Amino acid sequence: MSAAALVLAETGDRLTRAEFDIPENVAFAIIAGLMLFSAVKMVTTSNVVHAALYLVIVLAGVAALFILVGSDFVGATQILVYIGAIVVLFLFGIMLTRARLGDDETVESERRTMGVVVGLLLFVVMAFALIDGYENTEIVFSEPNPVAYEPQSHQIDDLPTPVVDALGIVGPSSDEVLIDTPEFESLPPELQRRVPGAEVFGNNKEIADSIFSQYIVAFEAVSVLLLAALIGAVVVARKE
Amino acid sequence: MMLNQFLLLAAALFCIGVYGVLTRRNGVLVLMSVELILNAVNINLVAFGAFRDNVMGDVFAVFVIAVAAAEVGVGLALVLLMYRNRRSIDFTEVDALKG
Repeated sequence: MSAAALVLAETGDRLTRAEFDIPENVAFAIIAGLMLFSAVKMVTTSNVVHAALYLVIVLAGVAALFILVGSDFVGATQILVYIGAIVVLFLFGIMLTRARLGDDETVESERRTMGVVVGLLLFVVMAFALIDGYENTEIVFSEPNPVAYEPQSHQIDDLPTPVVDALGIVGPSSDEVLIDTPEFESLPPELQRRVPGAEVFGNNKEIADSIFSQYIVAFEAVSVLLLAALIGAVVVARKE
Repeated sequence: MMLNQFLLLAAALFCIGVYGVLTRRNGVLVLMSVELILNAVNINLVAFGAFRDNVMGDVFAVFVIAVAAAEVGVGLALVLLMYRNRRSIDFTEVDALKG
């Protein structure tokens, strides 16, 4: 149970866990329906430019899902890189290869039946495995800042023990002294989020921490890969 | 929210992408379907990251996005080269390696 839902459940007349989930699930259903419709239209439309525009809807839906589960950094990156750069690149590709603007029946091959069979079979196998494996698994969100939901109910006593230990708090004191202290800054981000009044939203800080420490080698490898792809694209596509 | 609703949506998008790769003849449309597949994988990564409550899924999703950008750049360069040499980007006509 998430921290906010816990607070709400304790106060009695507030929302229960199931009611707390309803807005999220409604948002998910709308986004998912829109994404599936656009994805199907994307692979079936005979208009090349329309396919690119349907791709934009799917990519925006994926970004919305990322933000829905609290990964706002990945969602922003998705919008910047995919919708901002990759789709424009696709449109350039369509224009440069002089695709017929408007309906073009030659984009579809005669292998449609085979495609449907393979796609459906793959989905049935994957869906069976997923339903079998993760039948009742729920995503439990750790709320960034429970205070935003229930400002009055949180005192120092509610903090997790590591936070209390690290800040050296003995007994209840005023909330204001906790933030902007060196002790607060030295806390790991996942504990900072639990301190009342602390404005640590999302997990951007944790992502930055792990990219530039734990995954620094992968990060450098990706930058070299991007450079190689840049040079490779120029070499392949330039005129002799 | 259930973990499965994300995983099943991603599986559906993956299969739609596979269908697109198999049936499309236009090279640019094939590359678009590959993007659909990569996005399905990203949904899985982020959903599992939220499920495990750590940032590993998010970090990997960012890496996948970077690699996808590189892939599209090189892929479109190849399609452009093919168009320049053959005046067509129909992938079914590229069968020089057929036995």
